[in-house]
Amino acid sequence: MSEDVSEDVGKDRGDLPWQQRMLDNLWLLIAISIVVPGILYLGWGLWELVELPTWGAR
Amino acid sequence: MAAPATPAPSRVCNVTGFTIERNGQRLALANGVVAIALLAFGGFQAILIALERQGLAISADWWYRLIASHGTTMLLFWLLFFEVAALYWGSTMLLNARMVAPRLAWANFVMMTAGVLAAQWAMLSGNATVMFTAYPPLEGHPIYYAGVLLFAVGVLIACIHFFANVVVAKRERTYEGSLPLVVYGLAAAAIIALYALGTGAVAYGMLFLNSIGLLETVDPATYRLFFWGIGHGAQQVNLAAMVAVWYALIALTVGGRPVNEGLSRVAFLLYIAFIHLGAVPHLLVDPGLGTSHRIMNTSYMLYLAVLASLIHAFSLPASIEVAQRERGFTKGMFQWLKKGPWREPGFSSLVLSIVVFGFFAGVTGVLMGTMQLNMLVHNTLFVPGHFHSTVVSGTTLAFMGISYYLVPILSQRRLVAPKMARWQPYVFAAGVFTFTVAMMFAGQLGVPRRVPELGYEAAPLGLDQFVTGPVPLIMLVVTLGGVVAIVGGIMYVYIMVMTLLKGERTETPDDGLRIAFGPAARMRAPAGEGAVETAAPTATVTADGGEQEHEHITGLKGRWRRWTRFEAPGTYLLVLIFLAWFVVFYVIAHVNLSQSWPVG
Repeated sequence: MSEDVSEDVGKDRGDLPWQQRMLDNLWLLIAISIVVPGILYLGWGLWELVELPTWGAR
Repeated sequence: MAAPATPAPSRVCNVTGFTIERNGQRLALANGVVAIALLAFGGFQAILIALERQGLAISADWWYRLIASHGTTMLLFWLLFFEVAALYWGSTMLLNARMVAPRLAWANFVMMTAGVLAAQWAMLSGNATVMFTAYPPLEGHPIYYAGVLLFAVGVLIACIHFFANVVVAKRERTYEGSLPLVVYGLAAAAIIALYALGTGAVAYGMLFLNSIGLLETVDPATYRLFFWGIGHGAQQVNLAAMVAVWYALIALTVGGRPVNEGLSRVAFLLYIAFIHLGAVPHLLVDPGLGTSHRIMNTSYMLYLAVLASLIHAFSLPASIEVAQRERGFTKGMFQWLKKGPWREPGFSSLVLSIVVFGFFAGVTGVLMGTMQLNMLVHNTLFVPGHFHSTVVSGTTLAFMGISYYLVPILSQRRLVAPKMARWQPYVFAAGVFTFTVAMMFAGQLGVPRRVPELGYEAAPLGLDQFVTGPVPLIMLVVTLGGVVAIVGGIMYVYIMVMTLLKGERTETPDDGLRIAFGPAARMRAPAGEGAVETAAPTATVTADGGEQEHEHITGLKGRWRRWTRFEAPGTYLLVLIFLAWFVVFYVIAHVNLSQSWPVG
């Protein structure tokens, strides 16, 4: 657990590889988690449903 | 490490060495207790549902009420309440940090509990017999939708609180470097939850507005698209949290660390990006979505999330193997596994949940995620067989395993009935394994899900296909397996409740357990049951201060000797067996498909 902390403890963040900085960036991860399924699943799906002639009909 | 800006009462845990802040401790315990109460409630409903399969207990009307409540309780309420407890634990204790807004967290706890009670009232009173999916045009009482919405918003606030705790911990420098992997996995779960809860709020929000007359109609196809964002998305939250708990259990029970922490983090990133596409298989028979959407998401993008699971499927057992070999269990391929602490509930829960989840839940999930194969079992009892093996054999068993440590550590009480705790994971896993595999067999024969009477006695035209032949025997196995699982569940709830109510107060709550992590691993009990078993040191310090390495892998003969070049040869062999099982399962499924719809 805390013993799993990266070996890069004590390094300045700027010294870390960009891949690790990317993995550590929670806000970027949140954006990815919303954008990818938001486009592939939700956006694409909604677009197909709205195109149906019966969509919204009562 | 710098002290927090506004220090709250805290203590240093004698077992783990972590600083436990009182607010985080109380909030994690409170959410965990409600979660266990909900598990007991959902388990009680499972008894009636299992017995009804043999026509012994309840009417069809009550069966539907119970299926609705059981599904919602187990798939949403129990697991998400436990995950909120885990989020508070991970973002405070594992980071030596504090709850940023404890009063808000308590208000949130009350709101979530009120939401659960409201939804339960509506379902059990017969005012919302809409099942877990609540598909329109089925209509439920507004209080049902409001209750689920309150709960979902509460979980969303808890996730935001988790991020706030992490950000403040970083600013106050209670930890340095990257987040510990367990907390990183919990962060992945919280991130996945944001999208799931957002889509769930839209889905249930539409139905709530419709139920109070503010929205004239809800398009069923649009609802289903949004609903499965949470319906399956919540299970992906469980998945990420379960993997995080697995890594925690490896650290606690064998002192293991991930063999490649960066790769494990990449696997969590793949979950974050692609695991939500696991919702699409639920929509494969929906007429509104085009073929491209279905095939692109199920047969292509979804495999990137499967890749993440395959990474963990190697990393987790390899971490156990490396830790055990470092402890001196170096002989042959599998001494490390044979000499594992099998009497330790955390270890048995860990291994059983990994094996069943990997070999059955994961493989069947990928099968159902393939469009053509999905058609073989869509809406049959195979589907509940799959998700019981994921959520019950996998997530629930893993959460049971970690609570054997968290509850004593957080409550500072000695675990009650440790001998019963040794057996509980085996009893529970055996029962769940039996009934889930039987459900899958029944589903293969076409037995439908969500039908209380398989003979359709109440229908004008009966159907004897499922009340003759092998199906009644298979359904009896489902019931028997369910009863055994419920016995295992009762054992767990008994141990937890009695520990909280009657457990002896102690400064060393790991007594009776065998923890290989932190100060507890320093062999406070060098002999006897509590000691961490060690075969021989793997390295000795020489006179000049250097280390003389012992042979890491011993006893392999003949052509097996070449396997010593691998750091974890036993795991390597196990994953090859797993991949072979995967291939066999896929081939059988395609043979079944070719016989169902012959080509040419």
